[in-house]
Amino acid sequence: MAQIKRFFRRSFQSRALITMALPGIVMVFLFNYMPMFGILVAFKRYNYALGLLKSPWCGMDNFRLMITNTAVTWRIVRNTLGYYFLFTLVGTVANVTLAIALHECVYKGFAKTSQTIMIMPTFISFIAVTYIVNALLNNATGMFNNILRTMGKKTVNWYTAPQYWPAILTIVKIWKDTGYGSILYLSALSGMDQEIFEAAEIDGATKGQQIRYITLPMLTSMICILLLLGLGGIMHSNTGLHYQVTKNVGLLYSTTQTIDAFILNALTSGSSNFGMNGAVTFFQSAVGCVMVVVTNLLVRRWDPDKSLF
Amino acid sequence: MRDNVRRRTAGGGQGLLALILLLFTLLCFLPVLLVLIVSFSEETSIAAKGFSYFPTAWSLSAYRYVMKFGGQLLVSYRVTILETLVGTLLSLFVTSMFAYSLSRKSFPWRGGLSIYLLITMLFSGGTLGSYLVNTNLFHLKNSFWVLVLPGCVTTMNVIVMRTFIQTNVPDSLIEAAKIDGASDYRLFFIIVIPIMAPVLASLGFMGAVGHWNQWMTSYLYISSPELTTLQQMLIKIENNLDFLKERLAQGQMSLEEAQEFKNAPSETARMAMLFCTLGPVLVAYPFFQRFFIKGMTVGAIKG
Repeated sequence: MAQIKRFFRRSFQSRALITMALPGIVMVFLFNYMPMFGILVAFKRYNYALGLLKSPWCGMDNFRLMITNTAVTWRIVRNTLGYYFLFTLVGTVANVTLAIALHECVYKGFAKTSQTIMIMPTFISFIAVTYIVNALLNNATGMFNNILRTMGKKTVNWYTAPQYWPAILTIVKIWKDTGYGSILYLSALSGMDQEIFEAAEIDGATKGQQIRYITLPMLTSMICILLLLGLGGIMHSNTGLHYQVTKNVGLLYSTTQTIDAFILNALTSGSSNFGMNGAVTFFQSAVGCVMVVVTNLLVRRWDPDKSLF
Repeated sequence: MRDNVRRRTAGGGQGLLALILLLFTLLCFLPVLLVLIVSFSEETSIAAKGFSYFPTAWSLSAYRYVMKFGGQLLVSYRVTILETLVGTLLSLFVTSMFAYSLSRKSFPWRGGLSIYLLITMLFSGGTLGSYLVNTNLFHLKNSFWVLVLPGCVTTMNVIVMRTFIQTNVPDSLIEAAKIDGASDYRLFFIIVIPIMAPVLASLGFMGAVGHWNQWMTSYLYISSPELTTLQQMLIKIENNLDFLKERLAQGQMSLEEAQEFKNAPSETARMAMLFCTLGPVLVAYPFFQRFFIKGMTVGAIKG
């Protein structure tokens, strides 16, 4: 009782701080907590006319639907996980390589300017990227097909050929994110003690040996932390890449559609059959939650300062 | 000794490295250049050669078309600018106040609110949950506020700002101001906000770019032309044109559709419109570069 009284007294004393936090508390409640209830649609037979609250419950029917609809479920889960690992692997290698290259470059002015230009794709919207990819790959007017034509080769109908898209999406991803992604590694590198390198050089280590035996080991812990933190997003993908850049072409679904792209497609195609989509989102959320907890445990073991909780 | 080391490193390897960097830089830059060149090409050149860095003829007709039929472009510019300004400022305001209150050790709700925030990182309703709640309960469909409110406070930004305040605003400064009789509000606006300038610039810029480039919220919630943002306008043009082309290919085009097809922006005009939407961000980001580089390193440290 006394504790409660004390809590209220102390709360009253810091009423100014409470009023400052209040708008944030309300926003988080409305737009982060309420959607968690929205996802209860996974257990409902959603009826547009009745709305979210009045639609009848249906137990695990939607999850049964998700499991019996193996072809679609397997496709979107496989693509989500596959692209996650592909992008993480290729992306990390590209980021670290670029950071080392920029760091090793002795023409500092040139390195700085080129870094500024390399960051540019990060600030280009995915809609613009869609336009650009279309300008390159379009069947009739695209640049690649024109080049193939002038070389006398057969043109490729890119937007109906799913086999090329893992490569195309990876290239777009690398193009868009590498300049920006290397910033963190680069700042870690410039914070390193340069005398070690000078000492190594005097001892006769080549540049390659310096990178292999000094630079990379110094970056290892940072790479591991970033990889672990990234694991929390294992079930997520960028709809800009998987929905827009692919133009949401049905023929490409087999190698491009991810969970998020599937949900977005369901929402925009006008169907109000949210049952299976609710189940898929619930599954995605649950796996995501477990991954965040697990990775946080791992990060805390590795470097307590970097863990979230 | 140092000079000696320097001279030895600037050898043939350096030339090769610079060349590789130059190639990658060009790779990042060339696609944007293609957009620019196509927007200044003669339409007949596209018909003859397709998209190319070397058009057969140059022309300003694409920009003339945009000027003449760009009514929607102006409306969309206004909506996008409004969204970017209101969204970014509101987000910075609410987030920084929240972060400040969480940074005070004397705040009794501190622990509870930290957990309240962390839970949002564990569970989420996803796009579907948000969509159902926003449309069913809040009735935000075709409302300006749907562009601004849902992403206003993110846990990550609160944590970054709180960490920044904890490491950059000394407790003694706050104590001294308190003893001099400053209220928490006064303290926050007069002392803390100026110190927070770098982190506000960094998160503000990233937020502004996010709003400018945002397409999914508009795509999901907005259908009225008056609230169509720039990115959504680009999607609409592209989808509409794809649809009309398909009808043409099937030979099922009605008279109205044929008329619409004739008035639709040409390939060059679409690229001109695209460049109009890219311009502001491409001009602004080099000036903010040092801020978001700093902001990223702040974000990497937990408080």
